Amino acid sequence: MRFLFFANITWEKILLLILIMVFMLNSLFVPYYFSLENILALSQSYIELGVLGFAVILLLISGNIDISIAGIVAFSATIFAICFSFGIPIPFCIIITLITGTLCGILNALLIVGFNIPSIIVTLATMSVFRGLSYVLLKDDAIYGFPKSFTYFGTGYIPNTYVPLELIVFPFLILITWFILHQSTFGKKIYSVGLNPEASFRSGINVKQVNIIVFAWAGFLYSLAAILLVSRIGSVRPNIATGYELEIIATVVFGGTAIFGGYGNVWGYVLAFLTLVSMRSGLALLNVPGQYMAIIFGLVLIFSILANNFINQINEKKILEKRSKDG
Amino acid sequence: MNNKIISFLSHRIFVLIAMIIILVIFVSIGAPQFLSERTFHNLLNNLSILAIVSLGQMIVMVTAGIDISVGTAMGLVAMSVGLLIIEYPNMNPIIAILIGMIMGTTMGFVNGLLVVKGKIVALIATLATMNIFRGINVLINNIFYEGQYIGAEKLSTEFKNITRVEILGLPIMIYYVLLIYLIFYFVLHHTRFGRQIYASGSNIDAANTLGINTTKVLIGAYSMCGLMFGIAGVLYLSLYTSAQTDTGLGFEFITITAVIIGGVSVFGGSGILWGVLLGTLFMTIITDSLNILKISPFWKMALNGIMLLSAILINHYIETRKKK
Repeated sequence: MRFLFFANITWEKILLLILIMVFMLNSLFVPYYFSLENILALSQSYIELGVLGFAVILLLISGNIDISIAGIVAFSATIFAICFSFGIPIPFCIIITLITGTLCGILNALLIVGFNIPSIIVTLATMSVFRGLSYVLLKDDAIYGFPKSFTYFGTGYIPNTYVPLELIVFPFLILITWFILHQSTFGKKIYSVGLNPEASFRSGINVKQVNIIVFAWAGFLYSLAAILLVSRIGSVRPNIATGYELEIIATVVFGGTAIFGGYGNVWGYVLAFLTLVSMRSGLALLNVPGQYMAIIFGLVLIFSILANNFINQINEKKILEKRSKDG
Repeated sequence: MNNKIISFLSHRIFVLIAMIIILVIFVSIGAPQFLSERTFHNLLNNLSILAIVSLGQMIVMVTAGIDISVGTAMGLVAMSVGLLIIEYPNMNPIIAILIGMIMGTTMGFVNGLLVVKGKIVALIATLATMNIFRGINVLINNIFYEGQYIGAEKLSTEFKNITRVEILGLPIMIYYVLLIYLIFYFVLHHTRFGRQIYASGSNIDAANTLGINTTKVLIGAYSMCGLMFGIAGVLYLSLYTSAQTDTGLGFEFITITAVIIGGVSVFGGSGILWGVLLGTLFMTIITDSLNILKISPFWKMALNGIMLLSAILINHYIETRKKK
């Protein structure tokens, strides 16, 4: 019996338990936490982060890592602000920003694929290029004064409800990512490339193409997150989105996606995201300063990788035992 | 004979020296005051701190790892030692350095444990510890010093003097650096441990098969990196007489760039010590000359990224050509 329980143990189940636990602790210790209005309102500040995760999960599964996330978000936001300050109408600004983000992603991919250098190293360099360019373009200024119709999207609610307007993108992104990863042939290719690029190449998958598409899609989502972020906070500074890369990589890995690629699914990520958001909002309501969150995210990242490694080890052992029994 | 000259001319060290000379010529044409004694001393001081951290970074990168926590870790050491000195103003400077060394080594050891025993990718593990160190820095600063920065008036003259003496007309810092580099030149190139570091970096499985205890070697490498940022942290505090919560921000990029320019492969297993020193000198001249040439400091980060990217691409080009 005990064996059966352990045989079925998956990371998602553990996450669900943790989520329920965090939720209960929050409701116990934080007054007024347990209300739908509150939870929905809290979710508003984390939607951009959530959007980034849908890019990072694809990147990690395909065996890549992107450190330039926050850099591209900042650069896209900068481009948006500069287009706006030139008097370009908002819809065109948005289109230009989305194109910029996608191009940044493609640039990363071309450097990785074209020169055959690990994504860690390339994005480490492009991170400071993108962030640096934001500083060059904006200096120490902040650009603000976006029209109400634009900021309403980030700060407003769906009429007559407590649902933040921004939250609309979330179910769509879950659906799209679920479709890409778990329903399409392209998703199978992503997993296969992440597990073994050499074998994938030999079985006829265009590995380079897969990488380029994944990075381009990631860049697109980064710039989308940038637009949402600008629309919520209403101003752009070159240091916008600092530290996002740690938070989102930690969240995705916490969701059970393997850092070496090949494993992971959307639901794990969604659960991990909800868990961390409720943990954070609980701590914020308890007046824990935001700077300490870095410690928590660092620890979460380390412990979730360690726990994942541990579970994998147990599973491998079990498979080996089974094999030796069978044969 | 001809071949020999060409191979000498294309040697990394020679190329670096040529690059540095060209850079100095260009900068001093743009701003003649660059050649003054004061700028030179400043340059040597700035170089020293970076060179010590770069050495640690190099040891880790030779093992095919990377440590992006070096900057924040150095900042944490500087902050902790600073707080201790405020608490015990009569502390002997040597004890301060020792505390820094022990702290740094412990932090490096933790990095090493996570990477080797925890099997976490080096970049991700140190990204996590980088943020943890930064958080702890803010935490202790808030608890023990109400979130204020540590300024010059709080530090004893004795402590400040460990970096402010001049010997033979050169700042003492540069002698520290030369001493450390000489010791590590010996460790890396003339001891069994040094060879084991290179062996583990170029092919860890082969090294294991040969009977090298790679776990020990890798953790040792990270601890040595920790020792370096520990020393650098104390010297930083003494030299710039300040410690803030964002001390050392961006050091990781400058050191990584310097190490890669110095000829260390991002895939590990190769690299010479003196190349790293020259690479650091090159980076220091660039950062210092930005101020002198009155180029906007906002260019610093972008320039750094572009330098890092081009260094990686050039290294890659050279390596693939060698293989052919």
